Amino acid sequence: MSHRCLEPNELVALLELPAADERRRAAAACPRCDALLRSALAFLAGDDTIPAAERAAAESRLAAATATLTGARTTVRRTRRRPAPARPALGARQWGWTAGLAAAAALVVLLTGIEPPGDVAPSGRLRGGSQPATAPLALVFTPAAGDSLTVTWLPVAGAKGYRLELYTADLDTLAIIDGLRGSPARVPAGALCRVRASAGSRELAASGLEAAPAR
Amino acid sequence: MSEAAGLARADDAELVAAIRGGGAAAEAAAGELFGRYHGRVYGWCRRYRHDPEQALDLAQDVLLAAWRSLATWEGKAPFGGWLFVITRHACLRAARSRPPAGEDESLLEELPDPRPDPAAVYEDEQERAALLALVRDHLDPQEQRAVWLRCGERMPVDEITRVLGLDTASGARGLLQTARRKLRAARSRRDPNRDAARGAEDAAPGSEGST
Repeated sequence: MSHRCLEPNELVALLELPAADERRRAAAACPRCDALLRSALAFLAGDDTIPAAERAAAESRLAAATATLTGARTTVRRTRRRPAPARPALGARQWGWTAGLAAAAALVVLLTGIEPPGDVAPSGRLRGGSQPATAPLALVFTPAAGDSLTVTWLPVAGAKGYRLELYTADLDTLAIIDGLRGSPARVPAGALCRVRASAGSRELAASGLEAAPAR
Repeated sequence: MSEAAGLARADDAELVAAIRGGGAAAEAAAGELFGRYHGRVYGWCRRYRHDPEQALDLAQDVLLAAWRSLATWEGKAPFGGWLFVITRHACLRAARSRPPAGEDESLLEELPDPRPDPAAVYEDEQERAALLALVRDHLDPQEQRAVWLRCGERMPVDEITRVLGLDTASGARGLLQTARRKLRAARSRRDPNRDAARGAEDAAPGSEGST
């Protein structure tokens, strides 16, 4: 009779209380408060009905958005099918393989607004003969909460920033995160990752394209 | 490496403290903290937006709002609960910006939102109280929960089924239909002239009906 429905911010404060706690029980006895409590619990439990690929793509883009909020310069792109390189039909035409890839790279640059240098294709081949002699960069993946992992790498001497590239297993671009000052960064499980260290327009080091382990 | 492992082991409150401490560590801590909830925020937004792109936009709005108001988190509620409140608010606003979809739920839609709302100022307080009393007096607790989630939270029917853990074939839809039937009957008994008048209004050309 004397129950007063709690505001949402008051209700969520009850979440960590044991179910037997008097305040928790009082809230559970009220259908409205209980409905909201159940909503909060459903939120915290996550939604396992979303396809894994969609969730991974969303998490990557939200990671990029978070990096923007926290100061890193990030470019978030809509998932786009990578131009298919070196299709058999191309081989029969006069366009050479390298020229085709270069055109594809130019198209990607035009579409995404990403400035050179640095191709955006995970194969690393779009750069053609201009691949700089950069030092290899080793990536280390460690488990994190949820379906994601943390990727770390050793600092590169002279590097002013790092670019983290994320791709799906099908080589669709998930996100390109520029301006990271260093590791760690969060990546979705199963994503293909590459990190590039640069100083201005000069690339100092780059990792190979490495798959974050599936959880 | 050790820093990353340390962040992964830190609880939410420790990460918030690291963010408030500023510096480069704050960026990493923010990435870790929000990263723990990206999937949950997106999942919730997806319930209210069937298009993944729209859901993603909504989730980004949530993150922005959370980031801006991070200073207001006092630790009284778990961080995840606090973030749920922000997510819920954003999703409700998004849901209210669109007309309700689906079947005729006019009677349920008449139920007022009990939270402060400028629109509520224009509502008939007596009618509000009467409708809420109808819900309390004539619906069983599970029906009331479903009604609250549908009307107060604007939650899609399928999601209500999941949140309430309903395992009947009709799920929340059946529950809401029963609730609607009960409320309609109860209101007819309470005020038989009102529904007759409303029927006449509804039948009139250009009528918007009344609440």
